[in-house]
Amino acid sequence: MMLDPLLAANMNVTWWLLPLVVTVSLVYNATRYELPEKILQRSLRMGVAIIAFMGGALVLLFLLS
Amino acid sequence: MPAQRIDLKNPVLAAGLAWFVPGLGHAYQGRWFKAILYSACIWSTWFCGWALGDGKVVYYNRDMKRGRWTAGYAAQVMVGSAALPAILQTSRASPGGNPEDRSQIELHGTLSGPFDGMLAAVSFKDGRKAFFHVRGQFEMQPSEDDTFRKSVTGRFTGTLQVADENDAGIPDGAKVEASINLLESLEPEIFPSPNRAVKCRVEGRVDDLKGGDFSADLRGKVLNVRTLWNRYAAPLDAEGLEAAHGDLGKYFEIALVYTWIAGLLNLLAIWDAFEGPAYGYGDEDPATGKKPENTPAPPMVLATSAAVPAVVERPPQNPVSATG
Repeated sequence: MMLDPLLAANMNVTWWLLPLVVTVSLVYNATRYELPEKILQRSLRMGVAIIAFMGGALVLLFLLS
Repeated sequence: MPAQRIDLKNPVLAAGLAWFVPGLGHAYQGRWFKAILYSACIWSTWFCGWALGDGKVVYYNRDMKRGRWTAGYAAQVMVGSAALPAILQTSRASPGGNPEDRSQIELHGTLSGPFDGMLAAVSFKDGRKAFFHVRGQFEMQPSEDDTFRKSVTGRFTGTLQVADENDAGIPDGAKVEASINLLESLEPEIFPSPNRAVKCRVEGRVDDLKGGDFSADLRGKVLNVRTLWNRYAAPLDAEGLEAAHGDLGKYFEIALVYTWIAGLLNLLAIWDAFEGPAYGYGDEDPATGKKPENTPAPPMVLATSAAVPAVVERPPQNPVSATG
């Protein structure tokens, strides 16, 4: 199953990090707690924090470049 | 401790099941929300990496002498059932991985099927030179003449796809037939691709063309000839690894990372199956860290005999006072 060349050429690699943020947040917090509500709540918080940090780093690098 | 409120059953068995199939260990323990969550997250990450890497990023190579050791496999193998076949495939290919030199690979059995490739270094008898893209039907088998180790016989029939500018003056779509004389290079039989690359020396002719006899190198791929058994988690040789990087570019690394992360996440899941949640159940008082009052305790198991343990339900933690 090859990736479509046109899609591959136009897609920024950063977008491929977002599914990883979701899965890492969910799985990590699932290993910390047992209650589903707690897991989902903490996962959302962690995911937003990761994306905010990455966004901040991106802005900083953009300003420095 | 959180584990006391959760019935982990046999933690070692649960951890083993979680390693072998992500989510299965938690399903065994009856922790269905986590079973579904781990299964969905880890399997989706794994298969996304697998598809992105065209099925070529999961393999095991222990050729440490030549400095090629797939250290990332240590993470991938954490998804047990999906990654374990790589070890078997490396053993099947050859000790230490696939041979590096494809010119040393011999053909065993018949290789036949649709072909897509090129006729390169075409030399016509009248002196014309050319190269063409070709498609057609390819068939090759070891020769009964064992004078030369790599003697083969076979035929290729197909059509030429000619560019507008063609020094040889050959029309697009011209039919070609060729006999295969010598096998120069062959992709390993166990390799992570349904197609098998081959390079051989041929002699043939272009139909309906005066002076159309030629000798050439035929190089390309025989399509859809490898079974799943021969291509799943099969090792890449150096040429295959270079081709994969060329075809996939940065997506080869992204695919690798996805499979590594799937394995590392399953390591966390295995620990959760073995020990329970690390911080707590999730309903503890943040100030005291104690569980809420009137929380039912887990059933207490009494050994009334060696063969038949009894399960006794404990009373609630704070029984109502008789005086009210």
